[in-house]
Amino acid sequence: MAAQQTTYNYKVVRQFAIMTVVWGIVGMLVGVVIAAQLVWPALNFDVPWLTYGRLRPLHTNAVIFAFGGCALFATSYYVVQRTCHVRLFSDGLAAFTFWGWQAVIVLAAITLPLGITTTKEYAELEWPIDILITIVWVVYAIVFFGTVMRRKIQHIYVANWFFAAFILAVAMLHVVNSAALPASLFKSYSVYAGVQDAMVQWWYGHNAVGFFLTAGFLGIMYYFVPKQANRPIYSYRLSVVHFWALTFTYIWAGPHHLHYTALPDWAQSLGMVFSLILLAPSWGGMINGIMTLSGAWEKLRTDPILKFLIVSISFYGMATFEGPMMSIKTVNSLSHYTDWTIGHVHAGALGWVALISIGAMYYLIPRLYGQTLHSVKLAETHFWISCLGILLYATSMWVSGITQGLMWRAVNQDGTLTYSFLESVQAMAPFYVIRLIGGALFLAGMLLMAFNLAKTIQAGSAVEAPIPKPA
Amino acid sequence: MDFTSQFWSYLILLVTVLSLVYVIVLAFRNRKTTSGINETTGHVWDEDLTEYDNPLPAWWLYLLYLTVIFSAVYLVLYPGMLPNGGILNWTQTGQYEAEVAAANEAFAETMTAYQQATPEELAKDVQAMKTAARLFSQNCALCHGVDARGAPGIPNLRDEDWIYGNTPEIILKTILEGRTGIMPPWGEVLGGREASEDVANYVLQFTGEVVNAESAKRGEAKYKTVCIACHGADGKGNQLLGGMDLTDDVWVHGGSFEDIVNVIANGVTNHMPAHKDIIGETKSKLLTGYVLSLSN
Repeated sequence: MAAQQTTYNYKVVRQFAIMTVVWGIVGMLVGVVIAAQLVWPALNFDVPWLTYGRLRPLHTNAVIFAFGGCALFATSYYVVQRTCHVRLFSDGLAAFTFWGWQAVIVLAAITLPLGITTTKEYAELEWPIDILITIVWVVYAIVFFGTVMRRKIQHIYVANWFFAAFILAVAMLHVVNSAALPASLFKSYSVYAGVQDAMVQWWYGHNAVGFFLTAGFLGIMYYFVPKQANRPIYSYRLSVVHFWALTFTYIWAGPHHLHYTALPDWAQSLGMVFSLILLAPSWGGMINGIMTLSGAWEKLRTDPILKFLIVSISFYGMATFEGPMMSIKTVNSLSHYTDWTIGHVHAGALGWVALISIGAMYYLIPRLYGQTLHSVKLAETHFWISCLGILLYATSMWVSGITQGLMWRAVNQDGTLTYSFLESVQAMAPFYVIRLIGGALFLAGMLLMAFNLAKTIQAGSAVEAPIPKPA
Repeated sequence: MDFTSQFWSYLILLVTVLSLVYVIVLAFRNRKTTSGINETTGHVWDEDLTEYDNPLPAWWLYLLYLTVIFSAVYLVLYPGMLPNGGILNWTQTGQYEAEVAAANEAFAETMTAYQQATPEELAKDVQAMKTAARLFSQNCALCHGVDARGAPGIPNLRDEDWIYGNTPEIILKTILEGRTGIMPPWGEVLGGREASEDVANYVLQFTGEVVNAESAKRGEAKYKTVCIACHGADGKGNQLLGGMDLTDDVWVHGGSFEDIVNVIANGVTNHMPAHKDIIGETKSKLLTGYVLSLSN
């Protein structure tokens, strides 16, 4: 008991960190498979479980909630302990969140290929799994906030605000959006009907981006960037202002997913302008990240972790510029329903979310096992392969998306559409090949990381880190 | 609870305006620093984590102000803050109607000419058939195929077999109003699987297939009491009722013995959607001409 109060709980961090790498590889592998299916449709082998429609939600769930989720659990548990100078609130509850979250992921991996789905995007899991998610999440909140309340340092570190906002908002989003009437064990009906259902779905959907994939990962940035650069955060003031601005404006941005639909005009207007206002709050995070590095630029040459972190912040800046632009109705009428959206999402998912998680894992795992990284050179290679992969992915989807949008709206002299839908599909073929190569490169990088970190773990042993004595 | 109620509009207006005001006030009050540039706040976490108290970058602050001002103006001009839409009176329905009206006007000359022609005339008009081919690829090809040769369950439009007939009037009616073809499930009525097989054997005799003669004999009596109403004594069908011709080699729902038994026993319902409200009369007429041109 005494030993427990003088050390940090690294066990649960180690577990989540390892599963981050494992689920990252699984989720991205499924992504590469469905990208290949878009090039060669025969790759589903006429097996229902392997069809695109079932594997696609598996890919999104695995990457967002398994890979991204484990990265957030690992880093938030690590950061909250080290910046509060106290062990996690409860080892038992923390272990419960680990096993509970893994159970959710495994259940998702079984039910989605079986075709058991609510059909709500990024919330496809059926009601029994939704209940399990809620329980795990409430326990997560207890562990996190319990730890913050026991902190030995008066001020709450900025990373913890972002983790806190992420945990609270995701709890609210998940419960409201998943409200459903069960019809059987594997089938339920949403309590909302028609356009209300669509609105709630995209209120959830866009805030999953805002609070899960943005606020949570900004929490990662605010700890690992200053730590790795060994520099103070650029501006405390900026972090306060952009934190509240981000929290207040993200929540109304969802309707931009429903431009030119049955959603009332006023709600569409609101979604558009709040998405535009989001530009500055988002860039506040980018400025704080990049300016923190200024003065330590020379470290970039030799430090692959910093490379991952700085490039991820750059992609964050790019994606949060592109997003507001795409939410403008005129732009949206071209970009909506095209591959441009897919390119935008992956600039964020691969460029921002994955790169910053990778940087955090290269930072964490050697420290969790008391061993320097097996090969810096390999991590360096990983970095360049990833960048090339993202570049191929994003650019091919931009070109493909704009091509699609323009082909769909092209009109002949006689008023008929110039192209049939099939012709626009045929025009995508080369871009789908390029996208597949980009995705495969990114996956290859993940395999290099898995090898590199496995070697590191093999050479090291689990660390029990002492909590510093109060000054 | 519906969004159509003004209540939601007002509630959300209130909350959004309050949250924007809060953000602006917070940003404004924090625009300057109380300490010097690159001076830390004095807080230290995890041994070496510190933070500067630098001011907000001016360009960033102006960007925030600018987007908020733009939004306020936008929400007054367009549907948002005012109870009856924006000052510009813009609605998405209005935009759609204006675009359709503009398109109708732009293409009026060509379309009026087509409207006055008969489908037979259109079928011989090279320019009209180019338009019709595009209309076909966008509206019909999804089911009937790019080459109009159909698919399992979907009629081929290039052969000589016509379920409802191939006069211009009938084809136009099919396109405008759609068709629902119903072959009822006869399994129970006939008396089980074996009886359906007997009828199938009899039906196959129409095309001269080698069949189980004994079974066909048993089927004949059943055919002549049940099937004859739509398919006729000679099996040549009835275009008025959409009873299919069983004597040719065309089998929309599959021509194997098993396929035929299944259709007899379980029935099949087929649906061609009405296109009147989707593409209108003139385009339907162009497509009629196109279908005629395919088989002639």
